[in-house]
Amino acid sequence: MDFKKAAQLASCISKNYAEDMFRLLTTYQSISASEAASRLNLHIRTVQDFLGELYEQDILSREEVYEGKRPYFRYTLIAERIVIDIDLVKFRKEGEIIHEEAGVKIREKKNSDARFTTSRSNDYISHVVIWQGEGRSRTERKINLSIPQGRFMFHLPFPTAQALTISEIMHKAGLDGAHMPEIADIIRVLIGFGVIEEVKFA
Amino acid sequence: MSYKSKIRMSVGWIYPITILCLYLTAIAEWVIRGHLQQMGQEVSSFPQIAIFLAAFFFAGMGIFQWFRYRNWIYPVLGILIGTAVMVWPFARYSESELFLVTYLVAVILFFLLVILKWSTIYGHERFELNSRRLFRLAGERIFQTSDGYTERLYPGGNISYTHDELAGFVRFLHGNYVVRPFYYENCVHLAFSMNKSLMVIHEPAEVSYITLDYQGRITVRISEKDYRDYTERLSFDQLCSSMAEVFIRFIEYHQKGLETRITSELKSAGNIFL
Repeated sequence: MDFKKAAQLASCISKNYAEDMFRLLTTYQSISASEAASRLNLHIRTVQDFLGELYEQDILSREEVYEGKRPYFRYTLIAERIVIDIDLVKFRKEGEIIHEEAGVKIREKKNSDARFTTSRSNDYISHVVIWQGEGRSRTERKINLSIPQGRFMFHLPFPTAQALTISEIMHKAGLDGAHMPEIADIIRVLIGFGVIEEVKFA
Repeated sequence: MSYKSKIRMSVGWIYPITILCLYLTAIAEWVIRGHLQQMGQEVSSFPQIAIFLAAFFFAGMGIFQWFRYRNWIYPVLGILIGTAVMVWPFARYSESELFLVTYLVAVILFFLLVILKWSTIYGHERFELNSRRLFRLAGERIFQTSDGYTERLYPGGNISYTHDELAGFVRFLHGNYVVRPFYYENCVHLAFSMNKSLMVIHEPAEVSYITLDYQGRITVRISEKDYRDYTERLSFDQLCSSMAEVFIRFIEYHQKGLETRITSELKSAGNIFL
């Protein structure tokens, strides 16, 4: 299931009236928003939105009914179970794909205006402070690094040095492949802040 | 191959150059005043302008050195010698004893401070001299000028040494005023600087330093002020790498009992004025 879709569904079923709504939907053959609203003593707009979201999630079907002047929808429950299934491993793979498969080398960006604080043991960076904005609106953003991330940053090539692939830097830092996802994550963040630059090679 | 121009001129050069210029100004002023007296104008033959310039120069240099070295002895000595120079003509020619007392107090305080703080002044000068030599050694074989300064520590490699070897090496460098060591639980920081006085710093992060840990890892940190003292924007990673190589070489000399090579190599890197 797409993460965004799962988040919408989770948000929908987390409403305090959701259980009552599902009880109605399982009891009635089909039900309109006004019927459900009057039954649960809710505002019709609230119920319309809720049913609309379930329809978009393919949990309900709807039929447009013409009674009198204004058409309206009658909703029917078509799903017997709701399963939220998110593949978390996919995120990890996305991180690896961005940098390893795209054939990208990285190094620190020149004049990045970031401040690096080294750990007491002097073998990893404990946090990076980045300045954002100009003048009075200038703000400080501090990013605390995990120890593998800090080790990676410690061995990141300097701005004028030859850029290296992530694997090469991880090797220098003595990190194994298990740390790749968190390394890829911090790289993405620091590229976004202009602290790391990607150097494309042929 | 010439590498002498890679580092900016030392502040020490300003003194002899300016004092020579002030002497020439004083002579010119004295000649002009003598000429004006011959023309019948009532002017003193004393070169007052040169004297005032000298007084402001000494006081100004003291303040300038405060901003550069953050060592309070320099502005104090500068202001004292500036005051003495300023009131000297008045102490000599005026009838008021106030000028004479001011002059004597300034001169006595000046010499007293020089005697009492001699170790600070001497230590600072030697540290700066050797730091300049270290930076000159590190920069001598670098020709790429691509800048790229970063605050990050540079992993300079590994070398094997025992605790005793490291302690002996650090003592040797400290004893010869090459670096000021800071001892930590798992490493030693060897601080050096062409700018901030090593006699007044409280932690190595205020200046440039090399870290030698007990696992044999070497890391380099060059401060932005020191880096900007190079006349060219040398490739920063190469400079850090070269600095690490200099220290690795020095450790190897020490391990082989060739300490004199360290001093002779440093001395070969030129004097404080270049």
